[in-house]
Amino acid sequence: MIRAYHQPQRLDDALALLQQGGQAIAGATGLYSNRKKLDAELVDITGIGLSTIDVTVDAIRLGATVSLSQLIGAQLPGSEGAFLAHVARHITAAPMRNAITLGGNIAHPVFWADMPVAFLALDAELEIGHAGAAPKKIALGEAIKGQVPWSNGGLITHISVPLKKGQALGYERLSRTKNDYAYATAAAAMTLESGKAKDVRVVFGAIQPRAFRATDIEAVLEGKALTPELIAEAVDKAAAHLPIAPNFRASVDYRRQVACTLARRAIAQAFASAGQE
Amino acid sequence: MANDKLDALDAKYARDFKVIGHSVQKIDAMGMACGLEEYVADHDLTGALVGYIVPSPHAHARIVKIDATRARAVKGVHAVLTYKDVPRHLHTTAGQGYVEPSPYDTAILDSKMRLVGDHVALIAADTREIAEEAGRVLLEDIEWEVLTPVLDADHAMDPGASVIHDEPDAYIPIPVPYEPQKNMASAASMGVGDMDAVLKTSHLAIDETYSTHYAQHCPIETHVCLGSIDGRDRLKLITSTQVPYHARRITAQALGIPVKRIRVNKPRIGGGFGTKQEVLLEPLVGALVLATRRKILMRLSRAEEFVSRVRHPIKTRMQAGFNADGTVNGMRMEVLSNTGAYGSHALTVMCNCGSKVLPLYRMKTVAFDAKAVYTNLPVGGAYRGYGATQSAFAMEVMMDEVAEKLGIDPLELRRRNHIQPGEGSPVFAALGEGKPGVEQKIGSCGLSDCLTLGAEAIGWEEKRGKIRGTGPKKRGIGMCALMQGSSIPEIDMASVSIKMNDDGSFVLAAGATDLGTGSDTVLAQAAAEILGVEVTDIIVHSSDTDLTPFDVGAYASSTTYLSGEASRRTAIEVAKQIREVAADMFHEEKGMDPRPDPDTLVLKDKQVFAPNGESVTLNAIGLRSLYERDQHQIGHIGSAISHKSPPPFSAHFAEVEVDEETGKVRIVKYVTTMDCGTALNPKLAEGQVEGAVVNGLSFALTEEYLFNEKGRMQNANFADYKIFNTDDMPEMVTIMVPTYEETGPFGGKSVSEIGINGPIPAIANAIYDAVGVRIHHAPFTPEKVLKAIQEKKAREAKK
Amino acid sequence: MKFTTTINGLSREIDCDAGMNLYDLLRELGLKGVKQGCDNEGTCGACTVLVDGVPTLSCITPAPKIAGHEVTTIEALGSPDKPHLIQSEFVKATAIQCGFCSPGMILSAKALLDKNTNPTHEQIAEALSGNLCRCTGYVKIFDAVKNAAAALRKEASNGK
Repeated sequence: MIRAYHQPQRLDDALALLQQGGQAIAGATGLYSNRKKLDAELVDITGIGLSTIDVTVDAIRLGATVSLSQLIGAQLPGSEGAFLAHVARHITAAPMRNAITLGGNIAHPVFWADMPVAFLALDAELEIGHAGAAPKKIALGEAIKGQVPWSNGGLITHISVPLKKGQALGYERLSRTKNDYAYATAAAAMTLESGKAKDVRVVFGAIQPRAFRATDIEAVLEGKALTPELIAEAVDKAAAHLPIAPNFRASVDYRRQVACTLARRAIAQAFASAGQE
Repeated sequence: MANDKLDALDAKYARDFKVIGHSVQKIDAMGMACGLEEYVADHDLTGALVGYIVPSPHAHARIVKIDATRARAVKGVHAVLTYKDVPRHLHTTAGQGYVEPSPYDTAILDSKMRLVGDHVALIAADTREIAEEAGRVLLEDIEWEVLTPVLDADHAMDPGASVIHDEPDAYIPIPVPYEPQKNMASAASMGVGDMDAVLKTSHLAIDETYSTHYAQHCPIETHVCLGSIDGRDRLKLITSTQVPYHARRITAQALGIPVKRIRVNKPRIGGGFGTKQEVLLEPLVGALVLATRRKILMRLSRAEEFVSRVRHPIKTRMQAGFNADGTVNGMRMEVLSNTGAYGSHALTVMCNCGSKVLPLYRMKTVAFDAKAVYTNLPVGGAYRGYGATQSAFAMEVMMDEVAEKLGIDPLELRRRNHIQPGEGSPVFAALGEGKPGVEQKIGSCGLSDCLTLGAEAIGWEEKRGKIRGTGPKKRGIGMCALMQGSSIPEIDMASVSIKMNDDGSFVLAAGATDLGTGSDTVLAQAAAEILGVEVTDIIVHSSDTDLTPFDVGAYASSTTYLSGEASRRTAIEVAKQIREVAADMFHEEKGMDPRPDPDTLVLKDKQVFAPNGESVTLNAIGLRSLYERDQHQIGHIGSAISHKSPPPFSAHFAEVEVDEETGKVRIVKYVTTMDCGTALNPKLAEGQVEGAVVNGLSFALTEEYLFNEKGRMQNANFADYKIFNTDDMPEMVTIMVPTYEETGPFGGKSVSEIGINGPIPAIANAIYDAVGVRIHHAPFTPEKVLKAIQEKKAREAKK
Repeated sequence: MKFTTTINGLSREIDCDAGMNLYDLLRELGLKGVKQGCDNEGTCGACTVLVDGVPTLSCITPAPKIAGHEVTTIEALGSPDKPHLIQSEFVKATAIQCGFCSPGMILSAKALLDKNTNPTHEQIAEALSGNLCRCTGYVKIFDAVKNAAAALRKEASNGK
């Protein structure tokens, strides 16, 4: 049962309501199909000014209630901007993208949330608000380990993506139809220094409730020239213990194979585009 | 070249029609575009209660004890009906003509559950939420005897398998095989010649098995029914149905009330594709209305819709013997159909596997052996294609495999074997629906031109058999040839009434059921053509059992061929009456002496013309006949039955791209060529083809039912069960190939079903061309395709 | 809870349950052009309306979200005697069969064409990607939108 629907106009008011046990909603796309399990007061945070996008020379700072459509339409600069739009474009269908927000896509541990894959690859940082406390900054990767900082009244307010000169990115996903949840997704980020990959980040999505970095693959690739053989070797080594959360869509074995193929392709894609800078 | 050929065909077959053959605007399209056309749930719902089906949590279980006391006490609940509260009149829910060729194995409510989601009880409540809560309470107050479910059709008839229909009173009302004690819902067999000899002596013998899978029609509007009782104690059902007359009759049977006490009305409905050729909700709503004397709206949720009625999963084994030149000596088709928990459409879908596919190719020896088995799984019903979809996969991939073995081009193999005008098939007479069929000779057949035009449009010569693609993505093309039918001969009947108004306009009333197909428009076109008026001069009312004459309903691809013919015949009779009045008017008012022979008068441009060029308007005829002289209502009810089921023919060509590393199949281009005789409304006909084909594309690649080990569907929603959206669309080419069917109204045949049969075989054959693997089991999911590719690589590595 | 909103150009005072969704609210107000095809999951698009010109799935949108905003339903676009150009093009192209998806489809098309009267095939596909149709196979829907775009461009160049 939805006991009340609050529409605060200021961040502080929203945080106060959340501290009192209110549940934050933005796009609310999952609300009605789950409402039978709900017993809450809702706090609609789309009116508190978190739909801004600020671009500086160092970073893109995105408000948590920026929608996927807004993100795509903003045509943000750099390889990072194009990458974010590319990933967002592949999430579900147009009217849903009008409602799904970046904060919402990060907050919920649903395997089909793909923006965390992109943000993790981009080394994004979250700003978390809490009633009566100063805003905290935390790397996304840290935030999603263990208890997330947006429980107990916390609220993601902004996501910042550092802009790195020459950053090269790759992204692959496989699904049955274009707007379907993925069997697996993979993203890769790196810069190039003297033909060697630097600051390599490899991220998997859709195979666990939350996106995660494949640090074992990254370790093999860091500082090397990424030949197809090396990429295959790195991914194959990680394949056996790649954690796949089973679901009814396909066998674990198939999704593992797909995740690895997509990772190889995303890494190769990033390395190839890095060479072009 | 193609345009020249099509122009030549047009010139050969075209007739000088004024309304027929033109893409006249669909009469309800503007209303729909403005959101003003009424669907079931758009009617007045003042005071209506929600009707709800309490779903069985078990796939196979008996109710030992049930106590509805607590459920009835939930605030806002107006009725809880269990099997003890409703009459037990076994019937079939299959919307078929009387006597239905389906087992009478369904009661409104039963004490035994035969699939997850089966009907435990019916609840009428203020809201759906309250009804669901009462349902939860009721389920707590049931003692179950849980039985072993039968979840594998291959083992349903094993000795010792759980018997699903062990009730002593289930029976089938026609003399056909029915052995529910063995979980056999139906069986059929026919044979001409000696198949064993053919397989032994032919230059090439082949024996392959194929299978198709569960799918749901996914009409955007689910099953929905609004019932009420009026001051004359009549039950009125406004319902989303393809079969209003069968719904009336079967609802009466199920409730144990006279047919005359029921009125069924179909308003606009949001698609059907066969799932609404089922008397599913009407008896349930009727029971709740009679129990509460209130208006009841029952609408299936999308999750409920997925397990309402589905496509029969069917395994088809093809055995055939071919000569070295590719001509067929004989074929045997063996079918195992999984009909699910109830036997609705079990026999008929199974028989259509043979009757709509085997006659396509000329052969002296032919055999058909089929069984339909019960399982504790969703119930197979009528779904566009109706068995032909499932077995065309087997036939057309088998032909492709034979072509390869014999070194003959697949197109050429079809050309050497396909049925030609003037020819018949032993299958037509031998294989009806539970009784002998109807002998027929092919009239119109444009398949040869379909093959030529389609091959050119896809680039068959340039692309087939060549290695194409970049990196791991390989391209290939494949084709298939198809036939279907037009109506069920000697069984189905359509009737139409037409009456004339003061102003020279007409009211056309038809039992025929427009489910978005545009049949209201096409029937009006048929009448307008004869009456010399425009479609906008014809007011159409359809599908009301009190007010419109009988029609079996929209199935078996019969609306154009049969209901269209009824409209044409009725209009001819009305035209005769108009000519009589006109002759009187020419004689009495225009001084023509003697009175002109009515047969010499011509209806054109809303007037009647005499041979000397003089005319009277239909308006004047209307006024005179209703008000002025020899007053009578110009009008007629006409009927039609068919004596043939002339097949439409079609050839499909698919270009696919297969990712060898992931198994993902992408459709690059899909070409459909279609011979439906005269397309009475070309754009509407194309729309039927395109809609059927696109449904077939997702059926081939992305639609599947994923059950858990207890027989519960896991993916009963659009996020997890995937049909195509605009982002998934390949390049589509549709070529209507003209012919003229003498037995059809204005030369027309059917068009609505056949298109869905092409994608699975065409894509399977294209996958083979691309990556050299034969997939015999649909759908062609990435996992399945990748496995086949890897197994092939492993086999080749061993060599 | 109470709030003010504008629906089809008319200002409205709404008093509804906090948990009500926009679809139920619109249907209660007699606006039956929104249809239900899924279980409040936003997966079929038949419930599509425009909120401030943006295609919005009313079955998953909390009713209070429209407070202070403008909602456009199919009823506001045109009527059979004076249809909107897009409605006419859908009818002419035979892009409507059962019609159940049509109001949502037409509104999504309108939102696209309001921003872009020369959309590519891919842009049309993207704009309509949330509106499922099982009848037409989408082919004639693409035709309708392309024809409507061309007609709008012609109108604009005629200086209307």
